Parts: sequence; structure tokens; C-alpha cells
Amino acid sequence: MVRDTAIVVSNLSKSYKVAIQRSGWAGIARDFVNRQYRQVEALRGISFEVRKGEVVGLIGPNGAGKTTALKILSGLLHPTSGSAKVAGRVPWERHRDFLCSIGMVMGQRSQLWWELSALDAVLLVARAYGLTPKLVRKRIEELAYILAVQDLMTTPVRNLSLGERMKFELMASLVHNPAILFLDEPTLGLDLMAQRALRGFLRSCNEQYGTTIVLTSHYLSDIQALCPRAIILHQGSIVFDGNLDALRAASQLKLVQVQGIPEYVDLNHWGLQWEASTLCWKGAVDPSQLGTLLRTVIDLGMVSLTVEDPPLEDVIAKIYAEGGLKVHA
Amino acid sequence: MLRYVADVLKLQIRRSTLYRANLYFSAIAELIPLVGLLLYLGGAFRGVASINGYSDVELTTYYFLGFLLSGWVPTVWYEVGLNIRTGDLNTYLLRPPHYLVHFAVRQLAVSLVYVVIVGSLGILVCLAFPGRVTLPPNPGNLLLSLAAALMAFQLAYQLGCLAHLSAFWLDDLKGILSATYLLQTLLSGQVFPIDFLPSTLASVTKVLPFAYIYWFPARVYLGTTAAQQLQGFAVMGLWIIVTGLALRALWSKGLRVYHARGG
Repeated sequence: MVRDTAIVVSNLSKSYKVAIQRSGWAGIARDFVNRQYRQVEALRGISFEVRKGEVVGLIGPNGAGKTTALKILSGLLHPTSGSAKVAGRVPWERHRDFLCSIGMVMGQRSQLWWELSALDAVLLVARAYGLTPKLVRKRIEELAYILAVQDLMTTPVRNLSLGERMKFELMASLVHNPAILFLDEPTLGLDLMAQRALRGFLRSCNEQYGTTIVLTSHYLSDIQALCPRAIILHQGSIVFDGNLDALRAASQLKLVQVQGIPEYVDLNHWGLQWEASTLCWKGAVDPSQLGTLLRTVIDLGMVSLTVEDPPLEDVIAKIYAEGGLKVHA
Repeated sequence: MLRYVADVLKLQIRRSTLYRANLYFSAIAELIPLVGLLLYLGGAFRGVASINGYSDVELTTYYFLGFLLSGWVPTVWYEVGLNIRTGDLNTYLLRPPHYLVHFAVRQLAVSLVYVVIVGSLGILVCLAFPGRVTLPPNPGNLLLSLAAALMAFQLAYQLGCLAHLSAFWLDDLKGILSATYLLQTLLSGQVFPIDFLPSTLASVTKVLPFAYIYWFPARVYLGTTAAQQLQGFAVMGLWIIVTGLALRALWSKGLRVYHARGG
């Protein structure tokens, strides 16, 4: 492993079997006598590396394998095959050094005792890492200041709002100052202000402490705000690994808007649609056809033509729909 | 690690004593069968000197100790299996302390609270029925029975965890937990002293681990020979080692197939 590499993943696969439940009375009887299973390939030989201090977003539709990948990297799951090293250790061996090097936040799962005050709940997590009380106090004060939760320290966890609780979940995951932080849907269910605050905090963690961050999110705004690099997973395989600009460029689409061509002229075969509200033709066009399209619309008397990269959502939706864009930027 | 254990113990005691009404109501609910038993045994021994070698006072003391032990030893620690099935185990696996140590400490805190609250109420009940519960024949028996109770805690916890670790492979534990509960209830001496069984069955039962959860600590308290004590502690110690090793192997194998459900 190269010295400045935090994570190395090679040919990692994970498969498991799921029981098939047949319907109806006959199904119940058949399942009782002869249970059948189907094999699910959650990850299919993925490989990538993450440098120390890098922030990487894992994107993909439901069932793409994002959370499975994160669970293997954090040592919760054993892979079926392949290898991985995180902070120089094999994650699923769960060596003490490894556990002290990582932090993980699972958006839908709390690691804090609900009956305790937020401070006690975080202190208990800190104790698990064997930190001295002096060090813990300093670290908690520091994190409480950055997260702006000083006034909430004595509130029982069960009385915190979702946004407030997420801040304490982050605090608990970072109290031992891990070198690598895994976040699974950290902004799920948070309002816009809370999302923005969390993103700001993660950015400052990365800048201040050099924390390597790997996060999954359904919100592309999280990825755009935090991750210079994105890995897109689809059906257990990596279909894109690179920076977001490269993703847009690699999408093989340009967003075209033409003004001055009336509605009755048919431009549908170019992939353009008439938009009545702006009185113009709009649509995604293959860049190789732009020259021909340009000549055509000039001949038809266009007033203006704009060509731009499409929104990231459209690019990713296209990748999902087409089952992948095999690029490695 | 010791600081962590002390913190978990302290915070679990706080957690267990947070809902005071729950605590009092469950204590009273536990006391009702004890009161019923004291009244029943009083009637059962009318005109009878002993039942299966137990005098009125010995049998009443046996059941009183059983009442205290039932709160002290972790009978069915449902949370372990539940955590594995739902994936709540994830948060514990991400930290250095071993999950089963963490839960043993939490269970210890729950047991301590139970023994203090319910035990003190139980003593009040005994005072209301004077002379029915006796002290041990000598202080040595008291100390040895306390040691046996501590070991019984460990043994019961490990047995319970062994049953619950099947959650790594099974989605529904009802069958396994019911079987474990049934075996533990019948063969531990919780319902009746092991000596009440036919001699062959009693001999077999004394080789199994369950008898060392209730019967043995209570028997040591009431008085046994040095040879019986030595044999009992040896069998108990052996079972703690065997179940401990089995637990370790099962945990390691279980983590290999763990699903880590949920986000």
C-alpha cells in the first residue's frame, strides 16, 4: 500500500442468498417442504483506492451496493472474495488499531443511548476508545463549538431533534479523531439548514484534521458540495470513478437550447422538445451531432443557441437507465 | 478498559433507575409469587417434618434464594439476539470493547439494581413471616454461596448468549429460546430442588450446567459437605470454560455470516 493511500480495495465481491417466498397455499406448503433461495450479487469485483485526506462520494440507486461496500470497509461485513485494506489493516479482522482509525455514521441508526444526556452518551463512546478524560473534554468542547451544540449537552438524546441528534452522532463518531470517516446517508431526513450545517462541518473536518471521508448519499447536493471525486455503483459494479466534471463530460450529452425556431418546425428527431413557457426548443443532444444540428438551425433562422453540460442528476439518471457508463476518468 | 466498564456500569444503573414506577411495579409483581409460596409452604408442612429431606425452613429459604437468584442471573437476555437480527450490533462492532463484555456489564448493572430493590422488599416480606427464612449454618457457607452466585451469573450469561448467537444463522429464535428456557427452568432447580428428582435423573442433571445456576448456590448456602462443594465448584468452573470457548468460536463464525442489516 502506498504511504499516502488510506483505502485500497481490490476485486471485492459480496454475495448472499435470500429465501424465495412463493405465494398462495401451495407456495406455503412448497416453501415448508423445499425452501428455495436466490443468490444476490451485492458487489461484483470492485476495485478502487482512496488517498489520505480525500473526500469521495459513493453514488448509486437503491441496491447498487453502496452501503454494502461501506459496511465491508468499516469491518461490519466479511466479503465473499477480494481484498481490502483500510488504514493499513484488513477491515473485517477488526483489529483495535483499525477500529481506533475509523468512525462511522449511519443516518438511520443511532449509536447513542437514548436515556442519557447527549454529553454522557458521547462520553461513553469516547471511553470505549480508552481516551483520557482530559483529552476527551478538550475534544468534545472543540466539536461542540464547531457543531454549535454547546447548549444541548445536558439534553437527553431522546429529546433532541433529528438534526441535533445527527450532530451528536457525528460528534460520537469523531470524538476519537479517526483518520477515516464513513458516512452512510448522513443528511437523510434533515432540513436544508441542518444539511448545510453538516456539510460545512464535514468540510472543516477534512480541511482542519485531514480526515479522509467516504460517504454515500441519495442527495446529489451532498456529493456536489463535498466530494471532488465520485464513484458510481450500479448493480454491484463501478460504472464511473472520477471527478464530477469528468462525469458530466463523459456523459456524452450536451444540453441544447434553441431560440427563434417556431413550434411547427419539427426538431423532435434531434432529441429536442418544444417548451411553451420559454418559447424555445430544449433537449439533450449527442455532441457528435452538434455540428449538423447547428447548420440545420442556422438554415431555419434561429436567433440563439446555447450548449451546456446537463445537470448532474440527468447524467446519473441516464447512467442508471442505460445500465452504466464504462469510464474511468 | 476498566474505566469503560465502570462507566457502562454506572450509566446502565442510571438507565435502569430512570423509570422509577416501572421498577417498583415490576418489584411488586415479582414479590407476589414469593408471598404466595410462603403461604403455600406453611400449609404444606403442617404435620409434616420434611419433604424429600428438606425441612419447612430449608425449603422456604431455598425458594427465597431462588427468588433472589432469578433476578440476579440473566435468564433470557433477549437483546443480544435482537441486536444481531436487526443489525443494531453494527454500532457496537465499530468500537474496540467486545460486544459480549459490554452486555455482560450492562446485565450486571441491571442485576445489581434488581437485587438491591427487589431483595430489600423481599427481606421485608420475610420479616412479615418470621422464622421461615434462615441464615446459613456458618459465615463460610455465605461467602461460598456468594462466590457460587457470581459464577452462576457468568454461566447463565454465557449459556443465554450461546442460544442468542444462533441469530447469526436463524431469523426466528423462538424455538431455540423456548428450548433453552424450558431446559433452564426444569433442570436448574428453579421450580424444585434437583434432589426432588429420581436419583439417576438427579445425578445426570448435576453433570449438566443448568443445575449450577440455582440449585448449587442455594445448596451451598443451606450447607453441604466440603467434597460436594469442591465437586460442584469444579463442574461449574469447567462449564464456564467450555461455554466460554464455545461462545468465542460461535462469535467468530457468526461474524463471518453476519448480515449487518439496515442503514
